[in-house]
Amino acid sequence: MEPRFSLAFAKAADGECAACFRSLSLSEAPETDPAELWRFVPLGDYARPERPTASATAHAWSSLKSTFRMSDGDENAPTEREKSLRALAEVRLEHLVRPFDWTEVSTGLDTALTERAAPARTSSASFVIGQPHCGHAGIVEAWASRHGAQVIDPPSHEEILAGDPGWRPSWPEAGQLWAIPRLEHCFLRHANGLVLVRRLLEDVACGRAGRGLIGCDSWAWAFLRHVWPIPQPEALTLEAFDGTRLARLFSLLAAPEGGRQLSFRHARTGRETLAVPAADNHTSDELIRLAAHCRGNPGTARSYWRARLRAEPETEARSEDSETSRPDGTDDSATVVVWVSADLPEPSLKLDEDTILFLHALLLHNGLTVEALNEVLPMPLFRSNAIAERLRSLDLLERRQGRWIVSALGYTLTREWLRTRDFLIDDF
Amino acid sequence: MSEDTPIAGIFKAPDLAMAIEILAVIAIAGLLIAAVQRALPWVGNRLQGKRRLFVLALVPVLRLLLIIGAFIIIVPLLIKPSLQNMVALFGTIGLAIGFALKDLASSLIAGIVAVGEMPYRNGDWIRIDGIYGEVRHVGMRAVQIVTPSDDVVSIPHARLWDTAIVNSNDGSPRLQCIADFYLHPMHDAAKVREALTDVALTSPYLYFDEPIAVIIHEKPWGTWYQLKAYPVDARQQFRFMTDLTVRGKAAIGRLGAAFATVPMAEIDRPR
Repeated sequence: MEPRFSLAFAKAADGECAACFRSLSLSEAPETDPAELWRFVPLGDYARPERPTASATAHAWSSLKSTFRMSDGDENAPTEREKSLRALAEVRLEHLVRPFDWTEVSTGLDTALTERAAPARTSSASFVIGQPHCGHAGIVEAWASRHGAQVIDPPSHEEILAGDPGWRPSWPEAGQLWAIPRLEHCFLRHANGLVLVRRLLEDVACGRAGRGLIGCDSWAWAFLRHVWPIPQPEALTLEAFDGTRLARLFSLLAAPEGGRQLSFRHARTGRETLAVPAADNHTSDELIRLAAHCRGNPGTARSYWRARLRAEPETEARSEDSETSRPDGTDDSATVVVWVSADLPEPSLKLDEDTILFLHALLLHNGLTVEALNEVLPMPLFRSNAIAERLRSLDLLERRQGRWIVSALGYTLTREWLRTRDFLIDDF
Repeated sequence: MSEDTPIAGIFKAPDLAMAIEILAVIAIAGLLIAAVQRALPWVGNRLQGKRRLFVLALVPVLRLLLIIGAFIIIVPLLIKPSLQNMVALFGTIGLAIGFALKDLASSLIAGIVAVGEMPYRNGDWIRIDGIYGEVRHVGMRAVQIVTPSDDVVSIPHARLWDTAIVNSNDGSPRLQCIADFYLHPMHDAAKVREALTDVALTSPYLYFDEPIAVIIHEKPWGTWYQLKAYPVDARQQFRFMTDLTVRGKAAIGRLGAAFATVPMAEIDRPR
């Protein structure tokens, strides 16, 4: 993946890279320095962003209404202005909300690893825990690429069930770095599906596996802690994105359009939610609310942000010109206005028990193939397929590399469903 | 009250206003009770876990409070409220009930005790006289439970006095489930115990904050395993036990252990 941000970082071996990077970030860090943005913290230090008080009350009321399926009436009905807005073209969205660059993110990981690595621990492996859609696998792969570490692919689900130790035949020589980007794909929630991961974790704990980095999804991590007593209290995770950091992130992800300022405005109130480049340090309540809603998860926040962007029809028609007018009606060619829809795009669904079990299984494994679903769920395959198709039609699921995964827009809602029903959830 | 005062003398002279007032109190109390009995289960069944059980358990308590409230309002309307009059009235009523409606009175009093002591609440899974099911309604006279075969059984509260009440979850959403396995004695018990633990650990219904235990009993006919674990919701207990049984049998089969069979003797009959 090509670097998309303005700063470039030289590749260096092992800790040198992080050291170079640290000196650069301290001396030359601009306002939206990616290194400052992508900070990694110990898992126990993860601090979820808080909701503003007024927003918390509104959220509680909204949850209550949702519980009892009360109609919102006209309260949240779109205004005339919102109705007239239209979704942005995919090309423009890619421009306004570009994908994350895991290479940039992994530099932050390097910094954290270097700062935390004590000499006594250099022979052991480190863990990076990521929430869904936060790209922990991409980060670990980028780290492995930078350090020349051997990337170890997960076993197939047949190998997992067979407990076949041959899935890692070419384990690196002692002293060579290795990386496992997706620990969550190394087990199945099946009576026979835990042998390999236990053996791996035991090798890591004893130091037999050597030096390496393991990426793991936060839900799988929560499950694996019950499977094996993982002695890794210092596992790292991305620091939570509060409103301020989210504003900086979205600023970084937005590509300037012909040197003009981008102004993201709330479709209902007309207030400015985000300006790129920022005129001041003020963070809008909308972004604070979004950060709290996503529990500091930048991946889901980006998806919500992307799904909410709108344009006025004539603006979109003029697309590349992007000649827009301000809400007060005055034309200003120096500013491109993008509207932000008021509502969070979340599906509503009447849940049955099978659907809940299905979603939980997907989250614990960060996605499952159809065959693996058949192994871990107490329901016939046709039922799983029917649930999957129904959830996909509601945008709760998507299919990626042959696996069903809970979509970024469906994740927060799914987590809440599982939490209220006392299912095992992650620590975030 | 003097000895020559007839019992009728303690009542106030009836009139239309009194009748309307009493009927109004009874009607309002009845409406409120009906509303509570409908609204709270409706709300409770839209919640999960502890909140659901708490809301369901409020029904009999509120109903009792409403009945007591209505009683307190109605009695002074009917009689002149003095200690002597009260003693005379309740003594007479008590005597009548003691002879004629003893069982009903016993159940009603036990119903009040059930609300206070809470040996069972709505949403609990209980066993009384070998009948097992989920408490659906705690009435004034009887408790209604729904059995796993979807039968509704009414059991008078009076059983409280002389029968053991087994409450499997006691107001908690958690309830221990046990899956039994009976194996031929010749096998590696440590491996079977490990496999059964993993069977529970990988069940989609498992509640992780409660322990998993495998209890082993050695019997003359074989080895008896009890796999104990808790589902996320008590209502999932039968599906949970089925899941443990299905996957437990498969796991044991993969270990090569044989299941115990009924002992049979071959008898050579003379031809």
